Amino acid sequence: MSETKNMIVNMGPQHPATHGVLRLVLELDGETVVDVTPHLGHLHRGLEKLAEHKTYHQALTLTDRMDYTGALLNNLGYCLAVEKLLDVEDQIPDRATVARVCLCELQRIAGHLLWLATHALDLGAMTMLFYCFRERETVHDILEEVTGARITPSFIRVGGLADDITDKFIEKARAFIKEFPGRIDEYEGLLTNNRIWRKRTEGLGIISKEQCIQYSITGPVLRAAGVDWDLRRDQPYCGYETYDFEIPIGTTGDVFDRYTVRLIEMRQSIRLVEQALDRLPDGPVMMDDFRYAPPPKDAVYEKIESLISHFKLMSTGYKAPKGDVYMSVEATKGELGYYLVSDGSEKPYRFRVRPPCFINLQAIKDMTVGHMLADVVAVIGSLDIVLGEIDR
Amino acid sequence: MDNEEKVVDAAQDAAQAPEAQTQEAEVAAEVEAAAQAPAPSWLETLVEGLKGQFGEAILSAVTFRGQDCITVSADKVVDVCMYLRDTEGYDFAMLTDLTAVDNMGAKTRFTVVYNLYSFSQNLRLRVKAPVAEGADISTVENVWKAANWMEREVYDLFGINFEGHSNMKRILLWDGYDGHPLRKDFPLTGKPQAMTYR
Amino acid sequence: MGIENNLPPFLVGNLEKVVGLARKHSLWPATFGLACCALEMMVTSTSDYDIARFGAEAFRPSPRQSDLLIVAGTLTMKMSNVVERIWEQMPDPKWAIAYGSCACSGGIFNTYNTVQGVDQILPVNVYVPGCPPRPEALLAAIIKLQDVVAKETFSDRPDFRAAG
Repeated sequence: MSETKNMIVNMGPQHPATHGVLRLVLELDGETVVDVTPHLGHLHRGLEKLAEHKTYHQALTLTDRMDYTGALLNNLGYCLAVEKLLDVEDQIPDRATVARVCLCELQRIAGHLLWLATHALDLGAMTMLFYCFRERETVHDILEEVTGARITPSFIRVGGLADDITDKFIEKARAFIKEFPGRIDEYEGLLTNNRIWRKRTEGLGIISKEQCIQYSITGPVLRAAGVDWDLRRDQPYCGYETYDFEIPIGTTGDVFDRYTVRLIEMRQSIRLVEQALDRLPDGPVMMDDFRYAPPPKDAVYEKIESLISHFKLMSTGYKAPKGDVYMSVEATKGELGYYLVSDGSEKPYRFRVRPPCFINLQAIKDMTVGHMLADVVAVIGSLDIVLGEIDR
Repeated sequence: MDNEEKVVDAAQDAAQAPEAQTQEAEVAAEVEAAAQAPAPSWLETLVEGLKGQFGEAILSAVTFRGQDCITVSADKVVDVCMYLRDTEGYDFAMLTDLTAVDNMGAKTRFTVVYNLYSFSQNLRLRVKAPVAEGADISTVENVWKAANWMEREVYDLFGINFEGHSNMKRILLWDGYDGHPLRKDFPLTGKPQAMTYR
Repeated sequence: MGIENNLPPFLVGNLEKVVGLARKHSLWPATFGLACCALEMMVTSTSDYDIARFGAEAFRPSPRQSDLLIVAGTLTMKMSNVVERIWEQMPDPKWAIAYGSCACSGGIFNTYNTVQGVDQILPVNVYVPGCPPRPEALLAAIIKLQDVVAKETFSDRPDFRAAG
């Protein structure tokens, strides 16, 4: 008597294509996926609890380590949330606001480049890894010019920026803007009309508009499904309503549409960087509020009052007013939100991160059931997941 | 009512009095009407509508830093959420976030917080539901599918049980983990665990 | 290997040198990127920093085909069994680099689910601190490891079959 049973395969935490430590238990009927159960938590470092033991200034460094492909965007979300809580939003200097936009859009480009490199590598196009990382290194050089770090800058601070934007940064950024659209053309030339790429990505991982909204999916995945929604335009922050950029919308919601949406987003980010550099005003980059913002460094070295103020702010920290705020930004993966609850002390009482990848990953069952094993890899790549954010 | 009477009186007077008097009376009536009450905010309209349907369950409504928040009692949370999602003019179709806060030392220990977003109205709303320690709260999984994993995470890290959930298991830590880490009485460096994940 | 017991000593010495030379210039790492440091590890394999100069560009997904485990990122308790299993699956001779502060000592995460250093689970040969360390630091670690590998003698890795 022969009987057929479905095969259970473990796509383990150590896997080159799971973009981190994600464990998927797949039930296969031959080559077709019947059921998918993700097991998360292999990178759960307890960030939310750790932040409750740090002051608001110290907790900023934790935000870098969540979505480590686009760290400046995490910093921005956190700083905007704290600034809303402290009610100092109108005190942020203009130079800082414009520079924030410039840095974040550069970071968005770097994040999308990493996505394209790893997604293409998973599907076999190894050339893309080297091409995209070449550009990503250029972006890292530009960001390192001002921030001093490549992946975990912690540069956007509560009240503005940590340090000023240098002329060398502006020079390098302008050189990058000139050459980057040509590079995107290169990537498109390699992949967009490539028969293998299209066969492996079209018609895959389709999710409808209504399902997207039910699953609270946000970001390029939502836009590829056809929903015209981008936080930068609909709930703007940092003056995004004054910039001129387009939001790409997809039609079918499959993996190929997500690829196209992200490529167009990269082009729009270049436009935003150019506009930001053109309108960068002069002035300070940190607000002048002595209760929360540290004094300028040269004053700290010369005047005793500045030194004491700096010491007090860095060691004990500032007390935030009692209350709770939710502030979100459009990160590379989707809506990255911070829900901060303050009890009037120097440390956040509750530090909640709304992780876009965690919520997007929930729909993986709907996206992969009925497809084949190799397609699971394509779908995971198109969701652009980062385990640091899923597990926190 | 006073306005109408005044206007009627003024009209009767106007039949006999010259025009200037009628105009003065009309202007006075308008000014009084305007001074009576400013237009209600959308939150106030919402709370009135909710109170009309659910009465005692709506505990409070607050606006802090421009963000609106209503507190609802835990047993009516699912009905309130369905009302918010389905009512024309609100359409809170997206559950942006579902989390909880441990108010150690307060009367009810936990508060489950729902952050909602409406695409058509471009509005955000926060709904809070106080839950006592050991008590259950109904799941909103049938209202928004996104609540599935979010509630599992709250169960994992806080220990709040969601009644009616399809798969109430831990999601970030392993089954058999002793304790709920985000509670305030759980130490940061953790408790020694009897079994590890396999 | 067994052959060293039958050869005259001067030949064994030279054989050790040749084997060490071969091993050090073909260390194949296993892909074990856990967190942010994994990005720097990936970058080291691309053209800007080019780990292929040292013979180590073949990142094998399967631990059975690799001889270097670069633990890049935070090790959590949930993941510790997996690390142990991967380490045991790697055949001898094998080496380990703890890349990043989290792998060296737990880093900034002294929390309920973090193992304070991967050396609680497996023996580490080179520690690279940093958060994240630059890709050049990984290359420096590989060079240091190459010195260790080149100086290994056969008696360092006894044949388990011959012992019993």
